[in-house]
Amino acid sequence: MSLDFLNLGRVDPWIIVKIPVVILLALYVVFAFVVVRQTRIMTNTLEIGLEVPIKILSYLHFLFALFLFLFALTVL
Amino acid sequence: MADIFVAEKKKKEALQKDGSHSEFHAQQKKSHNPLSSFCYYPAHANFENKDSEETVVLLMRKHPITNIKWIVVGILMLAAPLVALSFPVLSFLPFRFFMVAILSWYLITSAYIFENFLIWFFNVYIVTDERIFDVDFYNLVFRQISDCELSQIQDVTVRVGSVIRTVLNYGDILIQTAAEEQEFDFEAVPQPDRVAKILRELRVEEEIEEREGVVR
Repeated sequence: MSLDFLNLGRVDPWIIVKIPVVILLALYVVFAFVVVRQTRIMTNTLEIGLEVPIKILSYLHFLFALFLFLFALTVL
Repeated sequence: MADIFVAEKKKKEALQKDGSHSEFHAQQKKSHNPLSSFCYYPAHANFENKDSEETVVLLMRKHPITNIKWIVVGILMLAAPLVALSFPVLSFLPFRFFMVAILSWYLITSAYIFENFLIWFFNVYIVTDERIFDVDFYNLVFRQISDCELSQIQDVTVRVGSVIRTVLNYGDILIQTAAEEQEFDFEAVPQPDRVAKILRELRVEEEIEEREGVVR
């Protein structure tokens, strides 16, 4: 689908798509950080095994979100 | 004397004779699997406001079969981009947007699977030799922890209500209490009859301790 019909002159029409995508990914990074905090609180509140793997998974999720945000910021 | 009182008396005498329920059962084999949904005297179970002399008797969570829905949805979500690649549904996107769309999809999928796993894993029901705990982990930002003394339990109801629950032996346990949280609902826990029996034994033991004036 071409966005040429928007007739934005020299401005890349896909920039209109890029801005909300980057904002949403930035919000997702905040959410991923909250998940890390909440996971840490829960593993401290309840010690029932698997604390380390769960913490690692939450950090990996956060890093994935951060990577995707930076990737979108630079590539789009 | 009525039979019911004779039976109660005999049960208490047996408990006193053999030592307490806790002492006897604590010597049984301990469960070490952290993913188990029914841990009797778990080897590694600790929580924030646990008293030093308090022993965790039961650690339960929902039966693993209750996870089947999100596991199937998760697998379908993982496979969805392959379908998108087979059919040109996203072909209008420039390659860089396509890449971000696919990676975003996998990010959301990983969050969905991780959240559902955490909700199952941290939604636990704990029975100690002093109290019962209901830890509700509703989502990644909201949780609730309720507790009640064993002596405040008024009524325990076991509810097993469908074919699959009967076959796999899991069900709900409704506990009426005199505490602020008037009803504790242990949902879809394995071996509900055994749980009710253990609760009854612990309550009798607690009653005996109260009569004898044992202070912990």
